[in-house]
Amino acid sequence: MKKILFYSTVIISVFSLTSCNKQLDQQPIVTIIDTAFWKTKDDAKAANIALYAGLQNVFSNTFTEWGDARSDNLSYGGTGENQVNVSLNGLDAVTAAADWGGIFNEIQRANLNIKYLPNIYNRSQISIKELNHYLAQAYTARAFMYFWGIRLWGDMPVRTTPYESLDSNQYIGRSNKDSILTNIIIPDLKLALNMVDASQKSTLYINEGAILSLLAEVYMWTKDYANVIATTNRLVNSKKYSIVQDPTLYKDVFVSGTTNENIWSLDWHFNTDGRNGLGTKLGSNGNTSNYYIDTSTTWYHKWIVSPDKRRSLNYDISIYSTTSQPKQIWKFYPIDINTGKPIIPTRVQCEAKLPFYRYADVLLMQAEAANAMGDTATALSNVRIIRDRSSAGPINVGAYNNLATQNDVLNVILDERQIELYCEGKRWFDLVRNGLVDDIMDPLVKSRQSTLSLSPTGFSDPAKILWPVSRAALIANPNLVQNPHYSR
Amino acid sequence: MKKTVFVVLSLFIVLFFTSSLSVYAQQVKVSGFVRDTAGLGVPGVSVAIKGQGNIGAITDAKGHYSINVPNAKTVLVFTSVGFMNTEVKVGNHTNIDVNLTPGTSNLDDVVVIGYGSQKKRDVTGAISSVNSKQIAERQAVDVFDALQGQSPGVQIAQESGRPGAESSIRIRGTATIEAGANPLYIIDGAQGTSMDGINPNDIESIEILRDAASAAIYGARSANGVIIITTKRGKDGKARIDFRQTTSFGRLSHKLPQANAADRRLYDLKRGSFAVKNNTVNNDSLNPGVNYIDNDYQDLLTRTSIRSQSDLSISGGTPGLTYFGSFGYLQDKGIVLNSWSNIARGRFNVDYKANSKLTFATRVQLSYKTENKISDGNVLAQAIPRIPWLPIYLADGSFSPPISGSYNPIADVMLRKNKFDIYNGSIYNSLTYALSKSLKFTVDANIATNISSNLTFSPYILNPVGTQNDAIGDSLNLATFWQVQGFFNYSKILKDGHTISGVLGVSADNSFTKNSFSGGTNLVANESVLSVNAATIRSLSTPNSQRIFSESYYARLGDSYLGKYMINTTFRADGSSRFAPGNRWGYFGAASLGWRFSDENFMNWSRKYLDDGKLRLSYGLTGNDQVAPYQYSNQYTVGNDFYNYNSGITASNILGNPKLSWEETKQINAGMDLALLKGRLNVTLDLYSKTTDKLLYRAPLDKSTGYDFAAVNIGSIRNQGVEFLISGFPYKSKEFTWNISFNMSFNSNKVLELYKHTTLLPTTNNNNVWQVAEGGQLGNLYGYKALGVYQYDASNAYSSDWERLTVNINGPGDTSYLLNGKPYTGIPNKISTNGLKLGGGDMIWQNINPTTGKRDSTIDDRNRVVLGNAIPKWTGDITNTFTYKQFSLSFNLYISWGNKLYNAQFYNMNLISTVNNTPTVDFIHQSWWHPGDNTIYPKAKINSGLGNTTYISSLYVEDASFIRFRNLKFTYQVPKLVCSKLKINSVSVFAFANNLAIWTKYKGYDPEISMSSVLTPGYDGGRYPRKKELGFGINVNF
Repeated sequence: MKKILFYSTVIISVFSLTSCNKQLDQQPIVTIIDTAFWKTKDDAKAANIALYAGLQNVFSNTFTEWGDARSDNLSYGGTGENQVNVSLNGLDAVTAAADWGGIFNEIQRANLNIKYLPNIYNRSQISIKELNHYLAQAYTARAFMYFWGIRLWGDMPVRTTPYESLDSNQYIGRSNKDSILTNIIIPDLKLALNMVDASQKSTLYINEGAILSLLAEVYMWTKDYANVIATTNRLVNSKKYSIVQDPTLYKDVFVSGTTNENIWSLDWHFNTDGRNGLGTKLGSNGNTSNYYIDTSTTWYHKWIVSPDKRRSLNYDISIYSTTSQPKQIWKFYPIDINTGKPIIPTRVQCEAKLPFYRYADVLLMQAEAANAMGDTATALSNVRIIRDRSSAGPINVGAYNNLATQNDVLNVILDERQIELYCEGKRWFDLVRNGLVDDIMDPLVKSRQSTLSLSPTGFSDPAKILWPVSRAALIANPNLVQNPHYSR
Repeated sequence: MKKTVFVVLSLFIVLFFTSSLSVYAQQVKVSGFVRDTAGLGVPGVSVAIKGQGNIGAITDAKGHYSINVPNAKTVLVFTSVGFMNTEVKVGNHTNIDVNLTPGTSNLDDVVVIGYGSQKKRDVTGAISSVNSKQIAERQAVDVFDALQGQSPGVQIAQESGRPGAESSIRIRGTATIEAGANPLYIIDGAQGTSMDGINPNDIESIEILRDAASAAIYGARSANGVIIITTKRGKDGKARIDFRQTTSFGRLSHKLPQANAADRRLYDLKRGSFAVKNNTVNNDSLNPGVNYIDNDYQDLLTRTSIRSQSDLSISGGTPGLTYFGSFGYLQDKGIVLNSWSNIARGRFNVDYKANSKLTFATRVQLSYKTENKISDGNVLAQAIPRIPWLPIYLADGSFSPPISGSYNPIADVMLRKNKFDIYNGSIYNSLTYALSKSLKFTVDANIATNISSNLTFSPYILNPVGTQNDAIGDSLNLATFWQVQGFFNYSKILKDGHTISGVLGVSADNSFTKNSFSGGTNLVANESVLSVNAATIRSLSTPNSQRIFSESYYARLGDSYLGKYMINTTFRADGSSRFAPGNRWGYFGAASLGWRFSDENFMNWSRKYLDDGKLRLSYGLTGNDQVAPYQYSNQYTVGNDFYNYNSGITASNILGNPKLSWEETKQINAGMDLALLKGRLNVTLDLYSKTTDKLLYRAPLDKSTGYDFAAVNIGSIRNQGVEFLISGFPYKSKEFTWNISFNMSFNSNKVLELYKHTTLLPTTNNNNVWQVAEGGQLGNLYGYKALGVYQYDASNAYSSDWERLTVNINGPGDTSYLLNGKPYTGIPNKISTNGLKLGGGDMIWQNINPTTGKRDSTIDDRNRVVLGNAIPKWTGDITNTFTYKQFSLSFNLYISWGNKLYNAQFYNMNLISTVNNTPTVDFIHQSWWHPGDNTIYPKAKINSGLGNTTYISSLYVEDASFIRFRNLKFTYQVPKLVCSKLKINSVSVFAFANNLAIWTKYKGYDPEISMSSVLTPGYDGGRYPRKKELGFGINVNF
């Protein structure tokens, strides 16, 4: 009996020595558990910064393919079949840029900020002014994402609160794109306009001008031209922005994104933010750019015979003659002081600042809206402001049916937008907005196919204007409907 | 919860202490000499008193023993690995010499089973053992090399032929997705000791616990099986010194066919190169490149490899203190230039018996490995497709830089650095106190550390001019681990025929890892300073660190009645810091039964043939917690989201899940052990079925949530299989013996359930190669099925139901179509891909949508099907050993059967995405060129956009079954007379060959490939090739 007691004591003491439940509570070392976040002023700032890092994730590898590569701006180059498929309108559910995951990750970031930043204000860590400015940025980022989403895929799943637990419903379907415009994008932007701190002027962050420009572009998309005029007038009348005339400054619009012409640019530094994937798509070093300027197009042939300074802004006119195809678009890359020419960065060091909105874009949006409302004079005067800066000469009215109709003026504006905003993610949406995709792309795709000795099937189906929903998204959500023409 | 643990444990405690202590008696001393058939003394033979569990004595280095026995009726049992047991009645003798005969029926061999040992006779689970003798037959570089093919149910594959290459191991298939599929390693009783640091020559035995009942004592970590390694100990007596030296030479086992300059010119012609077509390149006799250079890159890259292994060990002891110390150095220069790996390993094992009750043991293991890992992708995968006439050297003798995007593989292998320095150390101490004759208490602790430093450097010259700069990377990883255990062992023979044994214990362990990386580009100081200090542009450093703690309680109780009926039960509770409070504790248990039917009276008739027969049945529940920690909560990541030089914080891309808990594996095992014909034949057979539930993995989450994955604990996988081992002596005489051992393991695997029934599509390099779907198997290769190549444009002809038509081209403009043999009169439809209509020279893909079963008009990702499985259906091994007097010859064949590999090396060569890449010789000669060509490969058109080179194509899914002549060894044991003249104990010399031959249909270098990745197995992107190796060695024992 004594022995039993003795042994039991030994066992129990050994048990209690080794057993320490505290040790089982291990906290992460390099990350933060959610309950420990959203407490301080610094947390608010860090969460706001993450919004922009999220935008870098969204656009790094997609900006060119979403905004330019499917249009007549570019044709395939380099190695690999992806570019060929994009240029020949052969998208499918496994095309890399069909993945909308980045957009929803950004929406999640915005939704988290909208939900939790008020907690930090409630802890008196930030002022109401700071809170509102942060919220304005989150609402704008969310609207910006949905706006890209509906233009690329049409109907989109909608989340306006963060997804935080597996217990909540994952499998939501797609909401109507028009209802997203009227119920989310426009109200979000109006709310943001009320909340934004107008004294915050950095063009690398969402600011009042950025919200107005985005709103103007949204109204352009809905063809609400009166509101475009009203919104762009607010920007014009603010006198904050100008069309920069100095060539060095004009280059700087794309290199630093902080000139008077810039309204909102996405900053980029490869050593902290990683590469900007745009470097692989455009102007990649070593002749392996994914996309080249499409030299078979009429706009290009018109362009290369003009004195337009924007040619040398976009590519090296000293090596690319009228017969050779410009392969490296160097618009976004800084000038080497010694040679006076831009340096094409290595792919891993590309830090192109993406110019989401700049004053030239605003003036041309205003021109398009004014023309639609019959105000040809404003429309043409805005175009001239842009042309004069680049010494592009007077508008060749002969080439535009002597501007006889509203549509002829529209063509002048669209051609100007194409050259001025070349590879800035605008051209594809200009074509879609004005219903010109089939007119312009069908013959072009046919001629590209013929060059490759393929049956000329052309753009083939207007349903293919929308992108396919990615296979990964379809597999992960059984309630998602694929866009017409593409396989479920 | 803890209460339950205590209730169960208390039951065990009661059982422990209710039995009485036994009585001591008068003792007689017996001594003698034990020898083998050649008359040499056999060291290390266990001498035990029959009927008593403990070993009484062990023979010394020369084969002498002495033992105290209670009386003249005592029977002594002599057991040694590789010999038949011999029983001798003591009688009036005080000097008993014994002759041992070779054999394998060693039912009294001791098997290490975790927190104790068991006689083989009493084992009720599926445990296999590999002993030092079996290991010595191979010139193994590491434990895995020593173990491959040695045990049924264990599949080992080496990643490649690179010196220092890692191996992967699976016991009874793969039963998890992401929770780690490696078995648990227990080295000398403890976890955490490095496998890499173990010199195979230091191993005394390896036990593999395959079924749940055997493994369940290790509960939460044991779902993938347990491997127990016991290292050598010293033996009483004079110091024994063993020296062993082996040296071997190797050559590339076989070359891949490689396009020469003539092949390349044909390819240029086929792909429609303007210059080639117009003979502006071909006939230019002034172009030395085209006419004189025709590099054979495989010859240029490979050399004769040299491997040298020196091992020295010293062991011995005085009564109460034994020691074993060893030092080994392995130098391995691989067959590819500049690839090498060196490892130095040291060990010191001490066992000290302070008094009759207290013993103390120490195990120290240290190793240092240096290695230059060449980049398989940059060297081998780039070399063969390089245009054969591109220069390697410039006129001044320096390396040529990359030319038009083609890397210089020789420069790469010589100049690129990927150097590893790895230090490993562990110190284990244990203290055992005998509380009584039947009850022992052990407390032990193991502390292990691994420090690994990796320096990578890629000089400027390796990169195309102006495109990329030189780059340096420097990483340091630190891993520390400690474990403390305390347990009771109980063993008692009761008078009524029961033998009770039990274990009761606790353990706790903690693992901490920390790694840091710094790197940069644009080096100053002419690349002479290989440090990140020299980098002009530094990359962001993203250090990582984690700490994991776990705590366990365990108990085992066994009973053997008359050696005829056996039962063993196990219980274990584990707590892991990887899970949320409330889900931390997992409870595991097992029961197993054994029945020695050969001892039953009704089996008397069989005694003549059947020495021993036992049936075993077991069922158990084991666990797995090996997932990334902290996933039970939503986490915010820091340091990944910079903008405008500010650091942002945001939610991780993995959604946390507070319900996360243990993955559970239930396994049932039925087995049979037979010993026949007086030890001439042994058969072991096992059948099992194991089902893993509550799978721990990262399931893809709907994208609209903003997350990529959620950590889930839902899903199920089943593995079923049969394994057997037959060994025996087809011929045996005094001078000549032939031993043969054959084992085979079949395993099949099925995914039963996944989270929300969502199929997984694992990728490599962003390309989807696999499918993991309910009802399917792990390792299914998923892609497009090639049905041929369209001969003409008109051959792309389908009926209105998209059924392929047979096309007859009768003449220009005269084409007729047949559908199922009958004329088809409608207008044929044309199939398209990515919006483009396919024509002559394009691939014909199977156009059935596997979900709907319908044919369709477009080839897209919905036409993908499972093209094969990357996991072998069965593996087997045959080992033969012949002994004649002083000579012995052994060889073995290793078989792995029934799996497919994706030959991505060939796929990438035939991608036809750039003119700088030369395809395979096969492709060049068998690709479509002119209308009417009937080929297996499509036209050689760069970036056609027609999906001819789409991922993944069944053309590159190849049968990877193989039979390898793994090794051959011939040994000569120098006669004892000669030895004694040389004043040494024994000497043997041997010659050996490794990988003499391989029989396979696989077209790449070697079909044996790592299984380390559960979701992405069987992908061969071009690996370090294997060598054929010849060597010789000497073993001296002083």
